[in-house]
Amino acid sequence: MSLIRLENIYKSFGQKKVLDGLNLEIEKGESLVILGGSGTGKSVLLKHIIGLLKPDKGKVFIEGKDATNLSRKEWYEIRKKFGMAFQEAALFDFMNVYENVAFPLRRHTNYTEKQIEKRVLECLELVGLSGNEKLMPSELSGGMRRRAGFARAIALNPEILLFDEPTTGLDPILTDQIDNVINDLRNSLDVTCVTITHDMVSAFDIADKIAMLYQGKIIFKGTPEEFMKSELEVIKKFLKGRICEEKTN
Amino acid sequence: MKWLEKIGKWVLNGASASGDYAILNAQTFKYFFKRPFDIKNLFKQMERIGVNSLPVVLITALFTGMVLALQTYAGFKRFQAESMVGALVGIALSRELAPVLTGLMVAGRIGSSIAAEIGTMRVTEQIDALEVMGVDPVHYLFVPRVLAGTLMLPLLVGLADLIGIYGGHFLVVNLFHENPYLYMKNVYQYTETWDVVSGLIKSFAFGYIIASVGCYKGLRTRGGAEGVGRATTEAVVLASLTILIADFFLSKLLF
Ligand SMILES: Nc1ncnc2c1ncn2[C@@H]1O[C@H](COP(=O)(O)OP(=O)(O)O)[C@@H](O)[C@H]1O
Ligand SMILES: [Mg+2]
Repeated sequence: MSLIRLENIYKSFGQKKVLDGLNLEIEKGESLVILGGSGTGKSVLLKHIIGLLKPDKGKVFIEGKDATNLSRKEWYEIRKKFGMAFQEAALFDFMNVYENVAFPLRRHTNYTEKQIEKRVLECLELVGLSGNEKLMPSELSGGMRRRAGFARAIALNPEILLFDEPTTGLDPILTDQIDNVINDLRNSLDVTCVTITHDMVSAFDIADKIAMLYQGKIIFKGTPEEFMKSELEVIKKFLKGRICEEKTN
Repeated sequence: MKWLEKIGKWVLNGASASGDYAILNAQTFKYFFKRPFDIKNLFKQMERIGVNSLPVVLITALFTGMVLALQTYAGFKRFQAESMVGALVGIALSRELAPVLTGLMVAGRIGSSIAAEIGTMRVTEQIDALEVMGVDPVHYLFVPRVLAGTLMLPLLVGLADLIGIYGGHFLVVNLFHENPYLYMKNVYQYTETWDVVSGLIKSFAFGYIIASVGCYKGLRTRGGAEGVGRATTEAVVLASLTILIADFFLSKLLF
């Protein structure tokens, strides 16, 4: 049984079809990278996995259970299994780094202040941000902000980590750093990772499976080697570095 | 046909928006009584809405009181009723002007800032982050702001009453050299407790409107920085209009 299964998902915003009969299975323990051009609906796909968006048609299964029509409350329960790192980190800009990472702990555990501190420092250490607890999000560089977002995402020991374009807009050196952090997290935490990107290099750095989103469907899922050898025209183009932009329909 | 369609669409949008606003309000009420109670955040919002609005509100009240005395003094003098200025200032301020003008000033100052704050959180995915961490934004963001708004506006209005009446006093005594005792005597004699209380009751409602409209417009922000700007403006306009309309009906109800 796969950990997450999306079955025949359709989603439109107004006239715009974004997901168009999408199927995807994510196995426990794998590190899946979902590739796709910008504006093809990668974030929308991720938001379906975590229940922030509901499909117009189709079903979402989490650990075999149909989660499509669960209430907000039931989703809040399920989401405790998840950690999500947003595209621009989405740190709370009225809290410093420490409080940002402590936030989920304060809301969902009965930890004492001591235990919270221990866990926060642990998480910051894991993403290489020790010593920056007191900084406000606005004082962080792009790469640091993302890593602080990672720290917040792992605070509650999630089983599944979702990364939305963790390296977009970063220079190659920072991209490399972030990829390493993701790999480290994966090795030390034993989690399932789903990473969204349109960056081929980081895809090969962190994936053990690659999926390709194109025109609202997953047109390919396989190992990086299979991806390289794929005969699909879109993938060949993508490999040549030509990003397939969204098709205007 | 085109414009009929447009009107139809406009009405439908309005209806669904009011429904949306009503549902969010119901949820806010439900969460008033749910743990965790975020006292620290509540106090922060009370400071932001109440304490930080003091200068604006007090200056508004002072000058309103003064201009009220200035204008009515000239009018009342025509039939030798100068001494009644105190009564008029007291009644007009406490029943109507202090609540409404304070409401409008705070709507401009706080309604907009709440909408901008929550709108920014929306477009930078901070609201999504809350949802992902299993925290309902209505609970975490709406409740302290709406509570603080509802609690702080009556306090501001109470102060505005006092300052406004003092403003009238100051003008009558220093500009027109009237008997200071007579002005205050008139204020006390003709302004009834119910005048003041009804004004305060209205201001509870206005505080609630300002905060809840700001939160609502913020949460429903769409489309980047531009969207935040739009939400901010809409929050002020909608809150101000709602205050004026609610003022009419509440006044009708209370007197
Ligand atoms: N909440 C929304 N309302 C309307 N349109 C949306 C919404 N979210 C996404 N879209 C549209 O869906 C398309 C895919 O968006 P997205 O998933 O963010 O792309 P990306 O692959 O770059 O992450 C875009 O055209 C976007 O405009
Ligand atoms: Mg995206």
